[in-house]
Amino acid sequence: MNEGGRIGRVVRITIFYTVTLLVWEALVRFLQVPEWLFPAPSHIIDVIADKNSVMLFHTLVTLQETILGFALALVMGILFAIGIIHFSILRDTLYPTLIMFNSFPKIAIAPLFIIWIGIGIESKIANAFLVALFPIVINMIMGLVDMDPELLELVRAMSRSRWVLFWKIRLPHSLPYLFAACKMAVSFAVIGAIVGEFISGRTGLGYLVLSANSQFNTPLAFTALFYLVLMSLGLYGVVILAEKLMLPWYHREPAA
Amino acid sequence: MPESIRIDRLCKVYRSRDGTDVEALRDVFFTVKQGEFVSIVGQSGCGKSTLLKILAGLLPRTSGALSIEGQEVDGPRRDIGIVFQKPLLLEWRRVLDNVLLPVEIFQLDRQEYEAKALRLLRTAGLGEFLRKYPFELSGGMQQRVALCRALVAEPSLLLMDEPFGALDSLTRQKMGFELLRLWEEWKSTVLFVTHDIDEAVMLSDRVLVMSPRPGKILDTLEIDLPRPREIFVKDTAEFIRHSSRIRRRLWEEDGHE
Repeated sequence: MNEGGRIGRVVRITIFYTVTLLVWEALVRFLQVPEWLFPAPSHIIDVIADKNSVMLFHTLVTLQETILGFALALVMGILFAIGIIHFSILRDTLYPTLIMFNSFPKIAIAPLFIIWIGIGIESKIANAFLVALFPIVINMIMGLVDMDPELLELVRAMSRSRWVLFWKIRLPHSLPYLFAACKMAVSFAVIGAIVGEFISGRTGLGYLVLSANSQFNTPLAFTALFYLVLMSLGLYGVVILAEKLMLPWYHREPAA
Repeated sequence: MPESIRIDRLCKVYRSRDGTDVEALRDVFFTVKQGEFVSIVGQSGCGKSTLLKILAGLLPRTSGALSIEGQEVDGPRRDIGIVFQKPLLLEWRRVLDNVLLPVEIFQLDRQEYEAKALRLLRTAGLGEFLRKYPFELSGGMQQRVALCRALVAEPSLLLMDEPFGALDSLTRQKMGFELLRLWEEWKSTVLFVTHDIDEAVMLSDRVLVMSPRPGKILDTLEIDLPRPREIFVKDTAEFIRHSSRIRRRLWEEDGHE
């Protein structure tokens, strides 16, 4: 995209959001919508400014749960995928189990985690881990095996070593697939952590939304959601940035 | 001159997906001398790619004998370079590192072979693209990189399976002459599979004509055109005589009179 086009886009996006907020503000004031039903943006901004340090504390709790769950899913997902493509025993046991689990609402297990590992941060991490794991395993397996059969032949004509094939071909080939999975998995991990907090939280943004709700403190709930959006966008941005840094060679065909 | 390839009564039968046996090659025999440039011409499906894959140790043969440089073919080996129709470059490696892939796999001395790789790439006109990624190169350039990769470990035999098949005809012609230049410099044996009759005559010392179902050698032509070859050799009576004979053999084989 040329520089002029990019500036034009930024301008359009800014105008869109400014207008949306202004219309929202005007509608709430004009129709005199009560604050517990739907607060005006100006009101939410006040709460954001006022409750800054409390919000930051809860955000950090949720962020920590999300990152730990996601990191665990990343490590385990990669190891599972590598194991599944190399050992037929895992391909016949672990893989079908994962596929089975994947077609099932994993969040339904969340209450059980409380019984098994308590109401602390661990059960939220477990939740985040569980929902983030599947896209990583499935995509990673694809990335390790889904390549031109002639490329495999070219390498096989030089060496039959699985080690060579893995390090020189399969693993680097899988990285774009892994990053695509991470973009999904990081958002999934946030969902997992939030649901965990809904069920048994004393801290975190999920807990905050729920407790604000029960007190009809809708502006506070909106504020918590605002922080949640910022956090999710931030995490997503980190994944995109890591992809840009690690895969300078990766080039998608420009969209038609 | 000693032999590079000796193939004796090679047969290949494989089982197709619906369970029937397909005879891909029947009683194929020929030899290739060291340093010779031999092409195999035939329509798609005539078994020429199968033959190449058996030579590369990628497919088992059903019967017959097959040796390269006097050694029985039984798996991967260092003295063969392969170029397919697709460049098959590793998109995460820059040009130079792509060329050095065989050097890494064979655990050869990197410094020594890096100098060779650089020389090859410069000869192929890629001296300014060493640090580029594959996606930054045109199809013809990518195929040149693939050719350099096949040559870097100094194979005694270069196997090429329609290497210029995906390129437009002008680029294709140019690549043919570049291949000849590299071949004259690097002195390896070349077995070149193509369905382009003119290309085969232009490049080769000898052309084998193959027919399909089952794949067998129909005819062998010695191409005694002077080397180094130039584009205008295409207009000579010699050239036309060779190519028209190949055309006629393939035409007749196809059931025409």
